[in-house]
Amino acid sequence: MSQTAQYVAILTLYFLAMIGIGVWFNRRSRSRSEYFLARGKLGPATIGISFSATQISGSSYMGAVGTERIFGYNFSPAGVSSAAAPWFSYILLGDRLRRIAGRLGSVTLADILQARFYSKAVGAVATAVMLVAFIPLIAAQFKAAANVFEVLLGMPYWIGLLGFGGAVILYTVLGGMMAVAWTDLIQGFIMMLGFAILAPVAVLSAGGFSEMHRQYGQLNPQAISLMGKMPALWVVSDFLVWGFFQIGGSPAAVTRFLIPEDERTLKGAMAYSVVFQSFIYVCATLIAIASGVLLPDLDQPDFTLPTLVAKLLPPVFGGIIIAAVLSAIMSTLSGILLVAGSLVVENVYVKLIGRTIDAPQGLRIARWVTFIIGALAMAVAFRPPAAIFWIVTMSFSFMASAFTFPFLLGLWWPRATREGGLAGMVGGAVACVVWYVLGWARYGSLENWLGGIWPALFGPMVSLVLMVVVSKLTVLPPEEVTKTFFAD
Amino acid sequence: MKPRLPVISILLMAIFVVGGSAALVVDWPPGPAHLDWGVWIVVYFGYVYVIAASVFYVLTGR
Repeated sequence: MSQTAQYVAILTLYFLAMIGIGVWFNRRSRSRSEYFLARGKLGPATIGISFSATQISGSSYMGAVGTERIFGYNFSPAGVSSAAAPWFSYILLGDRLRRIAGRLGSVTLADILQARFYSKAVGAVATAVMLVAFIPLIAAQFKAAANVFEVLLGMPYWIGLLGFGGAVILYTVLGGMMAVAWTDLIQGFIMMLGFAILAPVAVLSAGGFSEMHRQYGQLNPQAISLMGKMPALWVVSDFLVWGFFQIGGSPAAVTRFLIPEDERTLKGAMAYSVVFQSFIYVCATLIAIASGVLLPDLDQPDFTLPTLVAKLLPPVFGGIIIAAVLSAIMSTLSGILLVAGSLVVENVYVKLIGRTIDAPQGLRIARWVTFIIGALAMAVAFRPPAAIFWIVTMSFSFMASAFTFPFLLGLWWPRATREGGLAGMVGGAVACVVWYVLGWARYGSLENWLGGIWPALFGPMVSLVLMVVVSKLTVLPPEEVTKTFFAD
Repeated sequence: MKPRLPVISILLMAIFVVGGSAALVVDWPPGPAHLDWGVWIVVYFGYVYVIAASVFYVLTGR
């Protein structure tokens, strides 16, 4: 059996196992709320790893190694900050969201924003911002997976897309949140296993920890320290944005805070998330520095991980690393797909259009909507238009700008008003897009910004100022809202 | 009753964000294993700090 045939056999079994989990949970949901959220039905490990696996996409898992190989320790603070993201998110949002979602019976984050800012317009804007960012993200994840099949396994793009996409859509549609969270847990362990195997092998092959750094410093002297290769503002922006601003930038992961019914589960989940993400990013750093020594002439950063695997590991372990990369893509994809489905059903169909549906009908609609979104995104991924890549590049900054402070002030500051919330959300999102456009007009690239200030920093700052000023100038929120949200 | 702010965790977050950003721009002296002290403190100690701070919150809720 050829190496490729072995990889395909391993991956086929893996996909069948994931679909099996979807089938297993197929009959466990009795309502669309159970299907989308599974409140109270998941433990700390499942919630914690699911949060992190959703947050770490394929491009973070594979791309972090490639980028860090070139930028070295200039890029590493972003990894530390990413590991801190669950620490910020769970403490500043987690417990407040959990309590309020339990009180209101909310299924989506847009439900909570709509209730907090007592306005359908806020709910509609939040839904629109998330869907505009999510749907191209889903298509981009499909495309990334199909590229893995094409580049690493030499298979036609469309076969990879149909096989991978079909498996993810099937288990997500069949099993809902229960299947998504449990598959995330398994995928998270595969991601850890992949790096746990590769990191020590790579470091030892590069001569051990100290010798590896000596050689890397000689080959890439500006990247062996925190500064040098990249401007100071770039390094500091990376450090600030990838931690704190994940609060608003990753609503698909933050939706996991609506699942636990008790504080203890949520705290346990936080511990799992932080340890998991710290492990992944420490290993990514070690693998990246080792690859800088072992593959000094490699041109394509994205090929760092597969090339290193081919160089250092036998096929069976190579299969695990490919499965790990696909796991990172799958977990992000299924999480976003399910949240997009919940937004369309709960916030568009039920709240905006005003349809009333009973439990069995709601469950059917939930499954169909999730399937249709997945199928549409897969169709787009066959030949993605250029505009999608613009949106994907901007999506994190866009959501961080729109949601970070409306969530934070909405949950902790009773004085925040409807007008303030709306101004913060719309103003932040618009400021972010304007900042990207100005950077593009000046430098001809979405990766260069005026003054080197990342739109994910600029947008939230505009949002914060608008939210505070407008809230101070408008009338206090109704007492029932203050009671619901702040009478703990 | 108003929601209780986890004051100590927020303080630890401020130290992480402000201290981490400040530490990035310092010119650090060489340290062990051919790395300067800045890499050891911000990167490797950074992970230990975040894990320890999370465990502190899990245990105390503060």
